[in-house]
Amino acid sequence: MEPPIVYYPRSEYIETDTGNKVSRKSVICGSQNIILGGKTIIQTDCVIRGDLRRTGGGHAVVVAIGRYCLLAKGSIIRPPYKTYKGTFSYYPMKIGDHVSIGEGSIVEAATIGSFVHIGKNCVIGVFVDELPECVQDLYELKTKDFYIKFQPKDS
Amino acid sequence: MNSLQTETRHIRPYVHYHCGCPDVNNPTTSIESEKEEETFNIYSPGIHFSTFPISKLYFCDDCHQIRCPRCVQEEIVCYYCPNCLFEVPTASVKSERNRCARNCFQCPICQNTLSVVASSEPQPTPLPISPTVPTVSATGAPYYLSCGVCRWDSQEIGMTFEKATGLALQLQKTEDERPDVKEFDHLKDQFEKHLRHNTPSTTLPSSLLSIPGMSMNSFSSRYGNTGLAHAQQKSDDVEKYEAAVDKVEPESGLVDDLVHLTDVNQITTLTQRMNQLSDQPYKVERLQPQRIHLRTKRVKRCRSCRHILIKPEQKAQATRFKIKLVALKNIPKITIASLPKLILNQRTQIVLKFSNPLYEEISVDLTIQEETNECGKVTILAPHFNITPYNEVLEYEEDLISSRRAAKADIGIYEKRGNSTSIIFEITPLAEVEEFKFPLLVKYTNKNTENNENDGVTTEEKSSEETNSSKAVASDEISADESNEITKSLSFWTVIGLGNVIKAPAGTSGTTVKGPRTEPSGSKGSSSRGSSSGNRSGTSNSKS
Amino acid sequence: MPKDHAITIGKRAVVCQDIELKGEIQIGPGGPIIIGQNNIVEENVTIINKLPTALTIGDDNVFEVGCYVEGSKIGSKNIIEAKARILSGTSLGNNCVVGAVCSTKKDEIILDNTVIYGDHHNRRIQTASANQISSLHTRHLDYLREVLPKFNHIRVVGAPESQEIVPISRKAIKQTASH
Repeated sequence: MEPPIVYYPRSEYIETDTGNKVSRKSVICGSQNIILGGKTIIQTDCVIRGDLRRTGGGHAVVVAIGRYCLLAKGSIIRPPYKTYKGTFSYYPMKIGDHVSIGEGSIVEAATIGSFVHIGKNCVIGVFVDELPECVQDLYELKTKDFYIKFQPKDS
Repeated sequence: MNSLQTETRHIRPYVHYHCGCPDVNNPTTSIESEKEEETFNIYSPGIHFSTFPISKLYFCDDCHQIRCPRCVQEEIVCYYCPNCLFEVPTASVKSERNRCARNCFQCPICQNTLSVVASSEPQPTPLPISPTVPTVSATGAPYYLSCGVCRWDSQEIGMTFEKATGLALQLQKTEDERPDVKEFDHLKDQFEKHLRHNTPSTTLPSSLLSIPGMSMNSFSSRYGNTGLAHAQQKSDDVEKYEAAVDKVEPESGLVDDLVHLTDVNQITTLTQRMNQLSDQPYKVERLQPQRIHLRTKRVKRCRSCRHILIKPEQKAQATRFKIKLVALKNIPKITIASLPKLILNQRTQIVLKFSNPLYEEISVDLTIQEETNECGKVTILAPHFNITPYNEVLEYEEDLISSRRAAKADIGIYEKRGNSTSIIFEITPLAEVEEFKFPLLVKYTNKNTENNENDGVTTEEKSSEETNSSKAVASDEISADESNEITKSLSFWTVIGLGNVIKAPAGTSGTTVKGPRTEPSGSKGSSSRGSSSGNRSGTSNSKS
Repeated sequence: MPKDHAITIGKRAVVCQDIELKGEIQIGPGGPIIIGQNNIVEENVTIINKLPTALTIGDDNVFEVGCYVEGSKIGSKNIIEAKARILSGTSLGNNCVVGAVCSTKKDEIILDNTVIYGDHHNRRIQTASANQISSLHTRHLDYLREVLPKFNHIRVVGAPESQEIVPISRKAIKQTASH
């Protein structure tokens, strides 16, 4: 099916120089620790926890998100944590390009590769079957298509 | 909510492509299949085995044919563990029994990946599930496996490790002592020598023969003809086989235990048993973590010309392909762009979008078998049309949406934009079916011009001036002037599934035309924009 | 945050400003929803008490992102994973794990050490002691107590001395008491 064009109220989103569209109604914690690759859309009610950084000094990137990613409504991105050699810490998280994270999904993985699609209301499942070879092209098309069709509308 | 979801999944619309697999069928049947192709029957039970979504299909450049998973040949390039992405050398795959020989284990309870945990503090004795649980040794080794999903840990079965690395090696000893493994090794030793002598040289690539120590040919000739019992009598050089293990002991008192079971959680599930094929225990305590199965990367070849269609990179981590001839990049992609609800006896317009992945312009001819099939009537308003080439530059132009324009001249063409053309189909369902589907023969011709330098220019001209017929003709002439052009054409069947047909709600007449657009095609942006949403609202209006 | 006199926040508690608190709630002892010490409450967690009786939540629990709790009693050292649901009337024991997207049944009594996991909401009794988990939990708490004030605006309410409760949170924790 051909996806329809999605319109959003122009005032709700901030568009950055690199084409990222970030909703003003999303919660971005520790934004100095977050990198967005460009042309990434962050929709309403998303939460990105850039404040949960690695212990120890220095500047640290907590969440790095690639190009043409989509964080749909209500999705939550938070870095993973564990105790390693007795010290508790959150660890940085990286998301590749052309990744779409469905509505209400929660992602706490350390790495999400490129060309990944996470459905609605997921808490990261396990891949079972092998995907066809052209899945990269398909997801690239899909994410680009969504970005192009995600248009502002003055209301 | 749930039932709604299953319903929508059931009737999800699709476009499937047919692959006749002409090179798989032998000559006698290929004639039949050609005949079959003429009267392509979408109701035949085998249709699901010969139609695929475009993403599953390949395209052979040399044969200029679609190839499906049935008509490609696979060869293993490398073995790797899907968990640690370690690339296993082919030589050690067999000795490691096709499983990861490092630290990757599958939870025996829930089949998720286990992680190695260090027990920092001395563990108090675990709560007993049942009296048969093996007690954890007080001086348990410092490492154990733990499942993050079901919280199983290997201390429950008394499995601990001295080191955090090479866990599989530490388990190897116990694995080698299993009766089934012993017996298999013994059998293999017995026959391996013999088979090596007698095996005729095989033409198949050796990597395909995964059964250790024997090829398929010799196996079938030996056991197929004579059977196991007579084998050693007929051929003199096979000695009498004596089992290494007397008898695999059944779990003692199993039947009694099963009879007295009161809690379903005390018995293993089918999945759990199937994941431990060697002994398939009934008791939960006897479940063991399993090493993770290796996976393969495979080269895929066209069966008829042996050309490589898919060649992945050797490295396990790489997701790129050195050669990737997929249908998505070579044949027109059909998507359902607008699909209003199909109502019985009501003429409805649907829109199919044809996109051209090629760098050349293609012309498309659409044919349907017969106007009326079991589901209803299908009419194509524009059976012949052109699609402008794919252009990378255009893809990045963001005002694509606003530059939508419908071709005024052509009837039945909903819109032309970028490298796609959308076509209107008129559907009149005549039966209340669960799934309205119809076959569609797509034939496309592309002019493969060697000189593509001015391609970008003509594309832009065309996309902007398509309505202006004189200019379009002019650009056609340019391409026709080029002497070194090759015209290629390919036709293939597709099945278009449109979901279910509903009864007309009371109070509506049966002949209203519903569709993406009832006014002439010249309409600008705003009205043609939200085509699907507009339709949906239209449908709901007619309902109320 | 509404300045409702019915809301009491215990000492050493870190409560986010964006929080949504409704009804008579005491973060600290006493009241229709009573949250014990050292609990971690993550983003978008909903804790609702629709019963006239108090919902008591023990100590050292983790309520992960987006979980929904409407039980009658929650013990201690439990982990309610992301998007898990504890339906009304459920009483949760100690050292339980409700896995991601898993749910309990209504009016159920869940015994100590129960693990609910998987897409069929399978259950088993875990044998692992709470020690390992609790060491992780205390370290997590220490980390959050240290890091959260660096990135969020902190309004000191009481003297940070005695060990009380620590629900750390973000966005919305809806706690509704009917009476």
